[in-house]
Amino acid sequence: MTLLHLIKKEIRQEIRAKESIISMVVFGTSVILLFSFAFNATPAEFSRFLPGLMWMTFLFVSVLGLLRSFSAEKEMDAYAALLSSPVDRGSIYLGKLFAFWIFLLFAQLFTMPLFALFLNLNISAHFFTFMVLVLVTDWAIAAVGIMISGMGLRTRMGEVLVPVLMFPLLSPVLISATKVTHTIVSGSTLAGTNFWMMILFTFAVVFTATGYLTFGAISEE
Amino acid sequence: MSSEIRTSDSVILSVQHVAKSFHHKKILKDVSFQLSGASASVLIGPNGVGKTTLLKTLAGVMRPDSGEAHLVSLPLFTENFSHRKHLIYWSHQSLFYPAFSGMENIRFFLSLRNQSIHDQKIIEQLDYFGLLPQINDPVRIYSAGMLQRLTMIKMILSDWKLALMDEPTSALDVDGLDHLNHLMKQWKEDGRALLFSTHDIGWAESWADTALCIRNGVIEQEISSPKFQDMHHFLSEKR
Repeated sequence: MTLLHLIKKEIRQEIRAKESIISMVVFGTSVILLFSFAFNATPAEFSRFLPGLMWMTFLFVSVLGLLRSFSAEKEMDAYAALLSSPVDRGSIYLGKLFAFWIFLLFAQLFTMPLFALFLNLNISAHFFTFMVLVLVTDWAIAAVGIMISGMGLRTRMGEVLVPVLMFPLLSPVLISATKVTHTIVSGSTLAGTNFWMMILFTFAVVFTATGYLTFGAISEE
Repeated sequence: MSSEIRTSDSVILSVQHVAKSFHHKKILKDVSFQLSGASASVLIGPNGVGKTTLLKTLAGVMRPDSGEAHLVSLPLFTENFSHRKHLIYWSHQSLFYPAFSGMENIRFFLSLRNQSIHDQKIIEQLDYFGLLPQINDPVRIYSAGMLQRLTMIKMILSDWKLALMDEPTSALDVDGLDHLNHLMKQWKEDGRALLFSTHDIGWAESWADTALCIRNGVIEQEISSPKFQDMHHFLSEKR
């Protein structure tokens, strides 16, 4: 029940402040347009590096959203009120994680069609697998990202901490998502993607559990 | 709400050997004291001795390096946060979500305490404290005094046995201070325990049953029924 209140609070706050999703969508759109103008490649050439470009873009978009994810807690130190409430820290983490996952999916809802429009992203051969891939990869990004943002909440270097720690930590996720996306875009058989999907699932589960169990120690002063 | 409290004879908060350091500097070295119901205690000490650190540690915002505390006989520094429902924290920052209205903030913080309350009761309090005209405004545009009034509403509508208050009189005008004085009297009569810090020792004299005089990371003195002169003397001593 408390978790539901925490998720609703995050979503209502985003609807009011409009801080995360709009900046994520605008930034994502700009990057996609820049890519489409900057690279003068044939569709066949493009399909080779499009999956990597796409996930790198979403990683940058995530950083932008994550930098805002605790800003409302800091402004009037509402986070102190959360910590002094009878709420376990794991629920605070899960509330933020779930809300950020929704925000990231929402931003992708607007930016993903632009990849198809400007950079010839074609997922029609394995649409369902691509949806599963996006859901799991986004969850893994959010699980790591919220944990690191929570760490940054009580440190002076908080905003630097997010990209500096997040990119190396998420490299297995980026590699796995890129490999699976490459198979999907090329339209070949999915038999070889099980290994990479397994890495993504494992990563998402392990970091969610780690964040849930350690968020108190991470985010208290 | 008040009828449930009445625990004046029992110990509400017991703190033993609490220590906390920042960047290898020990702010709190060994802090121990007890608070009973229907009592108010003031934390006094010069700037930087750790009054806010102690309040934040007891509130759960900071982790102590060592020591124990019990709130109504339940351990406070554990991973079981459910019994924190017995305490409420009033910081010198306002602890609200800036994009939410006063009403939404109150509703949210009550929901975290598993308290549901009819909106009409919140509206009545907003009206009483003169905040009704701003009912739909985000608290971002509230003045410091209005935020203090909103904090009082949060305290009134919440169930608690121990209040930890850091500089509660700051930014309050005469009317706001009258409201706070009325509430302090009410809370003590209800049998609740109050621990507050303030630099206004005149105001502290009016309300404190005990002064906990903190210096060098320990409670150096406990003064019962402290007078202005006692507290002024402690604060003006050079050590």
